[in-house]
Parts: sequence; C-alpha cells; structure tokens
Amino acid sequence: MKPDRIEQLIRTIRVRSTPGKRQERLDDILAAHDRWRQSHTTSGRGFPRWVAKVAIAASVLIVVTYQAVMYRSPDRIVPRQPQTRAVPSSAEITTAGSLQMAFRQGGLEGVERQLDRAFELIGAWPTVLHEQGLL
Amino acid sequence: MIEDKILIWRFRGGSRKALGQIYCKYEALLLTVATAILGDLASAEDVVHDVFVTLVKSPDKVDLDGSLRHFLAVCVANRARDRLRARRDIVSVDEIEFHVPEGQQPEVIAAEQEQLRLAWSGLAHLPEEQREAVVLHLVAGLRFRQIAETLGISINTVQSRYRYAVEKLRTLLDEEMRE
Repeated sequence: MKPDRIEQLIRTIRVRSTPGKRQERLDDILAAHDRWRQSHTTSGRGFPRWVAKVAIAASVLIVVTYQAVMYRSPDRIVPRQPQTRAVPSSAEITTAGSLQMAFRQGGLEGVERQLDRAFELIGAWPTVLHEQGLL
Repeated sequence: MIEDKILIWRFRGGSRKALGQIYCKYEALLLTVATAILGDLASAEDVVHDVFVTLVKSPDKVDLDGSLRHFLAVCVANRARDRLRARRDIVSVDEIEFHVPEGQQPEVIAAEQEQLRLAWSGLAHLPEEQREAVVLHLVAGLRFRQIAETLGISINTVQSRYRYAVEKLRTLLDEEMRE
C-alpha cells in the first residue's frame, strides 16, 4: 500500500461513542458548566447577576432623567444654527448691476429707461392696462 | 475558522449552547486522537470528558487567535499521554466501528472498512511517540512545527518519527494484505 493511501486512511478514521454514552458525557459536561457558572457569578471574583441588573436599570434611569430635565428646562442651551445666506443667481446679479449702472447714469429716470428697454427686449408689456394694475 | 472563533467567543461569554456545539463538533476527532494514543475507547472517553470539564472551569485558557481544533487535540494528547504513563494496556480494535462515507456500494464499503481496520491495527503496533506524531499530524491536522512545540522536541525529530511510522505502517499493511 502506498504511503499516500495510508495517510488518507488514517485521516478518515473517526472513533465514535454510542449515542447514549455521548449524550451522557455531554450532559455531565454541561452540568459542570452550569455549576461553575453559578459559583463564578456569585463568588467574590465576579458580580452577582442581580447587581448587574440593578446597575443597568440605574444607568437607564439616569439617562432618561437627564434627557427629560434638559428637554423641559427653559434655559437649556440651544445650539445656534449657522446662518445660511442664499447665494444670488448670475441672472439676479446681472439685473441688479444693470439697474445700479442706470441709476448712476440717470437717476430714477435712467432706471425707468433701462426697464423700458428690458421690457421691449423680452416683449413683456401687457396688451391691456388696467388702472388697478398700474396702482 | 470564523465559526470556531464565534463559538469560542460565545463559550467564553458563558454560552451553554456554544459549549455543546464545540463538543458535538470535535468529540469524534478528539476521541480518535485519545483512542489512538491510549488504545481503548473507555479511557479515551474519560480523557475527552476530563478535557472538557477542565475547559469549563477555565474558559479564558482558550485562545481566540489560535485554532480550536489544534488546542483541543493538544489538550487531549497531553492528557492521554499522562494517563498512558500511568498504565500500559494492549490496544484493542474490537470495540471500534469504522465509519465510511455513505452512498457507496456495499462491497466498496466493506473493503474500505477492512482497510481502515488494518490501518488502525497497524497504528496500534507503532511505538507510542511515532503513533502520537502520526495522529496529531493526520487526524488533528497539526503541522510538524506545532507538534514539535507541543512535545518540546525538534522539528527534525518529529519528521523522522513520522517518516518511520509511515514506513512501518506500509510494511505492516502489506504483510496483512498478503495473508
């Protein structure tokens, strides 16, 4: 028999207990685990379980109380929102610039002339004028 | 293996279910290692049981970075070696059932089982230290370097023990098959 085959055979060998005996051993190990956990959690090395539960409950209570006090307090600190300023569009800048230029050159009449030119350019004159609309 | 890391983590956290899963996963492998070293199933069962009971009492000993399979196999091998020094029994193969993967023809299964029985029987005829090297390498999956560290010997010694063991097994099995 080749060494490879011998190695393959030995790799596949598995010894098994009977299912009943296996379960018996496992139960025994789990019982040892339970006993150890029980003695470990109540001994001086670790906290008893009830202490941990009380500590968690106290922590939750403190956090909830703090939140409630902060929420109801009139002088609670409200973080200032940073002031945002809308950036004007390029069309708005152009319009404002042209009107400013017209005002410098000809005062209010200059502005009026500029507006007339603009309305003629875009054809935005109303076909019918009402008194109410002019007021 | 990530599954083993999770099992160790849960076990160290006190999970009873994780302990049961570790036992079910590695029991057969550990029994094989222990039986190969000790020679009888009852003693091997005791050794595996003792290793798990010890493990239960010191969960922090299980290293999260290492291989759980290797750790358990080394624990079992060490304990089995200690027990073997206390007594010397003849290895018996009568009480061992050899499992062959399912889905094969009955003749193939029978032939495979016979070869497994011969291999196991041959293993039992090896000197203790050679047997241990073979089992730790082939069954537990430890590298020669890891076996050397476990046994406190050089890697060359482990490799030569392994080589002699395989050679001897080959001679024994060839003789058996000729008969």
